[in-house]
Amino acid sequence: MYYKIFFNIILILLVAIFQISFVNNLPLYFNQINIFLLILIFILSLTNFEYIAWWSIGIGLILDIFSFYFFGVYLVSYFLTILLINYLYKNYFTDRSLYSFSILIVISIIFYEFIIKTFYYLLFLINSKEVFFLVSEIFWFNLFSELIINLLAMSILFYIFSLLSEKLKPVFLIKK
Amino acid sequence: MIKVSYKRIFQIVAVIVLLIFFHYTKILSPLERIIINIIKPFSGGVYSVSSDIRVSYNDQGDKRDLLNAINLLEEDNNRLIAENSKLKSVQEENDELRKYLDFFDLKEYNYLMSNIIAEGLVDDVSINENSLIIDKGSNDGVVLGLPVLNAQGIMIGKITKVEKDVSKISLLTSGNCKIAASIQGESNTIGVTEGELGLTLKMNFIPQKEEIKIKDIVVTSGLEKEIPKGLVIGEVTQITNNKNDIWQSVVIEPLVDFRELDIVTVITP
Repeated sequence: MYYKIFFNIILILLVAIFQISFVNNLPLYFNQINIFLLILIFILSLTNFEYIAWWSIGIGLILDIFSFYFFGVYLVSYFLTILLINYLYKNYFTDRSLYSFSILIVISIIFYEFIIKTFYYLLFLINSKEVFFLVSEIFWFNLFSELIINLLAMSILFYIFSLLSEKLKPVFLIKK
Repeated sequence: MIKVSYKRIFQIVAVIVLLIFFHYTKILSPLERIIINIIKPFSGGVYSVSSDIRVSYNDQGDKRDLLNAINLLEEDNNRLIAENSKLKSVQEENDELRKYLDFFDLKEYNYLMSNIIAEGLVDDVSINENSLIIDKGSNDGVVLGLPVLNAQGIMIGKITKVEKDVSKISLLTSGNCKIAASIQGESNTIGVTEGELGLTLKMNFIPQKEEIKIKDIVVTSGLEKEIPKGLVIGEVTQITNNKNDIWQSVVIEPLVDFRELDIVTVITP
């Protein structure tokens, strides 16, 4: 039990270092890959809601520590996003196919970006001269490119996971 | 329909609320410090690797415009660089540290060297902000407003947020990084630089009587308490000067590629 918790904490720390210090500094478009959401979707397909809830808390906590802004924004944003992912995965996109995973990543990224940008707009930008993000062309362009790059990353990860695990391979019931 | 039990959701929400509460009551501080201290040593190295990849990628982009012969030579060069990368990185680090020592000993500044561990997480929320996170904080003597330089002593930004173990540098090209500046060789302050779209700097409201030329070097004026006079900010690349206007404005280009930085120096009081 404790070994499992310790193992997961180490994994969360490694993923956090990879996202914060490596992916975020890559050249344009590659730095928009959201490793956290990609991994949370895969973990959900392999485990359960409780498991990804703890992962989202771990990830949100680390991001909040490094964010310098209002503590809790990432904790809440990731938790709300996984609530949505879990609902969609358990009720609509249940077949663990690449198509389901692709739709899940698209929805989760749109939802996450809207939540986090709304939070920051309400907390910091409402009184500033910045334009509201929904009317900013840059926001929509960035969102579009983020969706494309994450879809590509999801496809690559999906096939890697399929090679490593039986859980993502299609199962056919044959009537004899 | 499969549902997650409300009890379970409530428990997790309670944990999140407690974490936020503990953060603001400082009860969580020891745990936060442990997490930062675990991540910091690895982050510096990982950031450095990522930075190298970024530089190589940008180089590759430029190469598309070169002739095939140059491409072949550069490929050879890259192969050799790869073969010697480990040795070279140690040597570069050594050289860089020597440059820091030379420059800062010469100027007799108090300084604090630090590693960049990440880029600002929410930069794209405000499109006019560029920032870096370094592994030194208030525990090391970092305070708000201190200037941050590269190895050659060229200013890259200033400290705009400080935590106990980490700090945020707003780069010169950030909208929220404003520096009192003058032209090199002049004694008076002529204006305040401000980042523009994360790419260049601008300086508005310069009196018409100031004579500014393209390629003039812009330096800090020393008007701000924490920022010494004479630190290089950038080079004038464009002047907007209509005779009917009261003011003139200039565009300044930084002399540093901020994305190639691994180590920076904070000038302390």
